[in-house]
Amino acid sequence: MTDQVIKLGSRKIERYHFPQKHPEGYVLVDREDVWTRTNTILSVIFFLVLILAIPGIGQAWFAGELDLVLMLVVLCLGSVIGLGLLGRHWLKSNKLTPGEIFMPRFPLRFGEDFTLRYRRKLRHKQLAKPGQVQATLLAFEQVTYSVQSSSSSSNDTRTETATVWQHQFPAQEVPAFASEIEETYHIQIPRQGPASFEGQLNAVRWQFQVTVNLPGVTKDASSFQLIVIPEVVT
Amino acid sequence: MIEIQLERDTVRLGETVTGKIIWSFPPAKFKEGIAKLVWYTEGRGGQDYEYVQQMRFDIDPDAGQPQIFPFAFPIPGLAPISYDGKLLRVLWRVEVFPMAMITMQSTQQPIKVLPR
Repeated sequence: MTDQVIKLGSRKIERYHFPQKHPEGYVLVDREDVWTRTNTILSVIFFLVLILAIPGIGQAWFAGELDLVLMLVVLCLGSVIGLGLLGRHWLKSNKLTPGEIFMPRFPLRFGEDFTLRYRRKLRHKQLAKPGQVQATLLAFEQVTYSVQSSSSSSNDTRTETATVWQHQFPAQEVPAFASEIEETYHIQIPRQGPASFEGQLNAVRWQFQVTVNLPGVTKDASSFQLIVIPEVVT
Repeated sequence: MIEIQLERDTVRLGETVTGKIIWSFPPAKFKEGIAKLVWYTEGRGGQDYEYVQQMRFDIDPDAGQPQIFPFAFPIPGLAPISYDGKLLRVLWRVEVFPMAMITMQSTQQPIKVLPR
């Protein structure tokens, strides 16, 4: 099934939501936790912009080219903000490996009943104090619409979400001196759905969200999009 | 006038929507008609609309009135199902309209699509 295109509406489900087949089951990795090559390239670009723009500000100032000074200052500020955001992401990804979930089946169906395993490792050290993991499985609607902008004649695009089903699992403790987080969760997809749906402007999505709070290390959240097809388990 | 008669108004994914179109326009008025099986959304968001199957049919000017056109539209196994949520509804219908120079209002018949 993972080699096929899944289209539950007018848009194909993005392939990065497809898990990898693994001896332990189907594995989904939270891409937000991964430090990618694009992040490295962007960091280098922002750094080079700063290196080149800062001396340019001085030269432009003494040459009296105030427009150029303003442009370079804006460029530097943008690069500083970009580097700050990327730096924060790098620090986080340097503390913990990306969050992963392991599932026995993919895609999921109505009435599916299985055990899901969540795993995330500390990269460099053990926990000094006990931590906590909190997981939630939810289905939500996301709709997009246009409204007339109050300030101009153009339209603004707005997005609204509403949770239609939710189950919060009891918080689990991560013991002190642990070097990885590994929790299992009993998942039950309701027999009446809803099913995943992807339109151009409307969607119904299933998400497994995990928040880890590790005192002295980090507090971070991972989310994984699950695909639930409209088929009832017999 | 166009009338759509469905054999069943509730079907499951993977099944076929069957029925007939009863066409009673004067024969000279239109030469061709089109029938579509569509899903669309209603609710807070902008509308999504997609036709899943369609069928064109020729009007016989020499035939008596009314003319009857049977149709059979298979629903794919992974299409969206009928859904009534908080911000969003997903609905299905068969719609039929005459092929004309100007856009004519279609005749519609809602159906309910259930999971497999």
